Amino acid sequence: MLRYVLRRILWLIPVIICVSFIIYTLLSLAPGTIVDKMITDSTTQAELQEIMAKYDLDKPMVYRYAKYMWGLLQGDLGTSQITGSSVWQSFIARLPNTLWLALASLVIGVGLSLPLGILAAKYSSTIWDNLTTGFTLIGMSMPSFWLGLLLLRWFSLDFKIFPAGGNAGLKSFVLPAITSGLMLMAMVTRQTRSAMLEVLHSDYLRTARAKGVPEKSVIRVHALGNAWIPIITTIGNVLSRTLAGQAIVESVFSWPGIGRLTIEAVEQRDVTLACGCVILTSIIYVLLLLLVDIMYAVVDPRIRAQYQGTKKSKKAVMA
Amino acid sequence: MAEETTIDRVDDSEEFLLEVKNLTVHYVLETERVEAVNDISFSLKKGRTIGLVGETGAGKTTAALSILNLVPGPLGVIESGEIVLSGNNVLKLSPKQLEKIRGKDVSMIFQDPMTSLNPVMTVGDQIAESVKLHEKVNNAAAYRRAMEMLELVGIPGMRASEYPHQFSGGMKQRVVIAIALACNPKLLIADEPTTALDVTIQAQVLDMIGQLKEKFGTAIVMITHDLGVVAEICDEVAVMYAGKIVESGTLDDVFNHTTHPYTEGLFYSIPKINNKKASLVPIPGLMPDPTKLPKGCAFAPRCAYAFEECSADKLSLRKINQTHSVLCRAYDNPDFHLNLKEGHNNA
Amino acid sequence: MSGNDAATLSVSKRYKKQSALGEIWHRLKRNKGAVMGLVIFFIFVIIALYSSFFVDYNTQVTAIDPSNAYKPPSSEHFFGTDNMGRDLFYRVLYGTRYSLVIGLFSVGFALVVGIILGSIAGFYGGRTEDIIMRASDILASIPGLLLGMCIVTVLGTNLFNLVFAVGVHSIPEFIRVTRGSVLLVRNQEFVESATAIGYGSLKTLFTQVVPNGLSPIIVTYTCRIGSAIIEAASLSFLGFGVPVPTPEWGALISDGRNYLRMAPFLTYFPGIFIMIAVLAFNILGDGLRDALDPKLKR
Repeated sequence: MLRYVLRRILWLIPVIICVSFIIYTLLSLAPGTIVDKMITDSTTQAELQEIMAKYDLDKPMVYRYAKYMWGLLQGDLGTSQITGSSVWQSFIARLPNTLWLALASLVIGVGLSLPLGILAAKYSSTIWDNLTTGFTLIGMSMPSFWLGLLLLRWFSLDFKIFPAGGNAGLKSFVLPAITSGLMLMAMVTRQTRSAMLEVLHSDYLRTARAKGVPEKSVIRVHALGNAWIPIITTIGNVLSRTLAGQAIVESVFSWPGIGRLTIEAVEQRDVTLACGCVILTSIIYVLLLLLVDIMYAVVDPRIRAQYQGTKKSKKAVMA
Repeated sequence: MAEETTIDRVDDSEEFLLEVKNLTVHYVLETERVEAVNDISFSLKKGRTIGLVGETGAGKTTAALSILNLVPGPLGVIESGEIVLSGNNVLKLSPKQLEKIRGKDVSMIFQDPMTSLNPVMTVGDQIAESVKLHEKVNNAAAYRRAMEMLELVGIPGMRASEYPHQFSGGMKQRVVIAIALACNPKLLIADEPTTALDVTIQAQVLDMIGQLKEKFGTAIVMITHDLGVVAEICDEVAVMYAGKIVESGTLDDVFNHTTHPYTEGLFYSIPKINNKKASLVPIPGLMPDPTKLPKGCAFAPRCAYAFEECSADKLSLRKINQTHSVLCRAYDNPDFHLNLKEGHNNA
Repeated sequence: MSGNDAATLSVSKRYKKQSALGEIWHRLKRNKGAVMGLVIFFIFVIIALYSSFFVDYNTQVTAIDPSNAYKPPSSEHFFGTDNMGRDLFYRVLYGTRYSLVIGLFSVGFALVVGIILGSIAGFYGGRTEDIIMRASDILASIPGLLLGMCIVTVLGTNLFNLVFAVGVHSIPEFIRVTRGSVLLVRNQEFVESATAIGYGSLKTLFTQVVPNGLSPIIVTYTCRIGSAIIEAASLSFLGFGVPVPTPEWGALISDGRNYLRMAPFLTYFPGIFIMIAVLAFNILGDGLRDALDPKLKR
């Protein structure tokens, strides 16, 4: 297991190299540079040369990338080309905001979706089930930024219950958390329902009932215990997507998280900052998927045995 | 009709551990109704073993699940009948009361050991769960009991901390039996406990069930299509066909004084080791569609002795002697007898 | 001789395929959600076609008339008018084509690339497979929205680039699904028999393996379209979509959010259309999944 985790973490190295190369190249190729915003009509040719030289823009892209990579290999993500502050510092400063939001949406999403999905499966083909299915379908079809705007309009402008944006206390937290939590909730509810439906007819539930296990425990312990794998997969996928797509929600609610940091960096052609943000987000993304894999082993002894086996599991790395 | 088919026992009915009276179970589908169990009655005394014999689809498993009131809803509906287990009508109990009975008074071994165990729970926990539910013991004691149960079925107690996927099919079935016996139930329902296993393992498992039965005095309802199994461990036999019990009696009654043509057919379909020349005589045709059962005898279309009235009219159970009864109208004719071939009962 | 056998093989395959298609259609028809999704899809196609022919882009969709701004929905302007006095109803109708094109083509692009790479990976195995799958893993570990933003930044904001930017992100999924079904189909007997009668490996791959492993790919395609529409709208919303007066739905919402206080309907209507379109593809995908293979999961 430990070896597997180590291998997966080592796998991050090629990921970082490739991701940084792709993003760095893309942004360097993009028309326009950070210099565009610094020059005015009065800027002389000499001054321009100076600025270009400062950012190595007079040298080929390969040179800049090599320089960037050299720093990266030493663990230095560089400094923002615009503010001059450390990329790592700016990212870390914003990260808690995004993580808190993700955590809140996770709590809202999973906390509601598990019971909803279980009930829908248990009373499948009833009105309750149909309502849940309809709700999840609509939840999945709603663009999060639109939902965010609706909530803004109703709860912030009309009823003035919550502030419209920024991060000022718990109240400002509610709308963004609901916005990103609802999507998560819809997907997880749906997956919980179908995973439970599959498990509900298994023989071992009958065995459990036959030995007198109360229905509540049959569902909670025996059925849910076996439905975790697809549910965890979905939670992991949706959460990583939420984290990456947080940019949208953060932009709607002016939430100072890493998503908005990235967008601003891309918009301003701040290549170092943008590249650093994407790399760090990708690392979080990969680690999250690793966490999902570890969770598999926690909930399913068969997968645990697979990891513990001496045989190298190539498939697991690919997953 | 109900009165006619109730087996009129001379014994005091207080002695019966289990009495099934006029049980009818249907599966109600969108467009049709599967008549899985039709008005069956049987009873079982303490410590005895009854074999429910019949082909796949005869309604044996449904009948067994009814005893636990575990017929899978919402499709499965117990239409009528009464199942009295140590004085309680199982079909009238509340879910809470049922949970108390299941696993304690009556437990069940299922057909397929591969899927009957929860794959994400250690076998020790699965056995201990039952103990904890029904006896006032703490976790450690329940777990100790689980290990003892494993030893009892021939698995080292150390393996209690392992998961089902670490066991072979035969071992899993032993675990299932250990779960079923963990609280020392008065009645054990074994639904084809050996069908999914290799022949050598089958013998071991049967042997074990036999031993446990003697050791604990557990009454057993043994569901099987294997007459060999019946001969080995049953005291009484009920032969089921298309949801009805067509012949019932003691092992001797049914095996040595076979009366129903279907039972006779079952015996003919078994190869005989000491008479290899005798060719197998399969029963012609198939079981009738359980959604379209005939009014009269369901076996009539396949029966060599059948005459016209057989499929037309309702049947009533006929008593051959105090223990032996048969559902066949041919016996209206006092001279009727099956032309049993010699040696059929050596199965 | 082998030609004869091959002919028999293809004839029997075609026969099997036709009856299978009929069967799938039959099952799809019984699924109310799928039928509804299909109907909505066709309505959207009709709207897209209609708006191309009957709505004039220059006078009705993009012409500016400030005196007519912020009119709430009325019988004259069904969805009201925006800050420039443009009729939102026409703009939303006209926007249908963008979402449809983006949805169908971006995922279609990913599908083609994914099928080719995925089936090569699954069929040849070994080092080829390793390289393809690792590359796919790396691509999958870049958050889609961020990758899309970077791509649009480089290529510029237009419809084609948006299709590409949204599509790239779906490629790894198709590689994975295709490889999975190729692996499943590869060892089945009819594939062996094709090899036995002398089909080359590429020919076997694309005549035998891919068609038979198609079900999960079709389902993934349909299910993906919904999220592609949302992704494209998100990119547009952030300003990485289509250039300005183009009435793409995400862009319309992006415009409308500035007037959330005085003219919320500018935000409501485009969003409702996005939702209905995505919903249609989602339920159609669900229905297809059930119809193609009841046992297919996720």
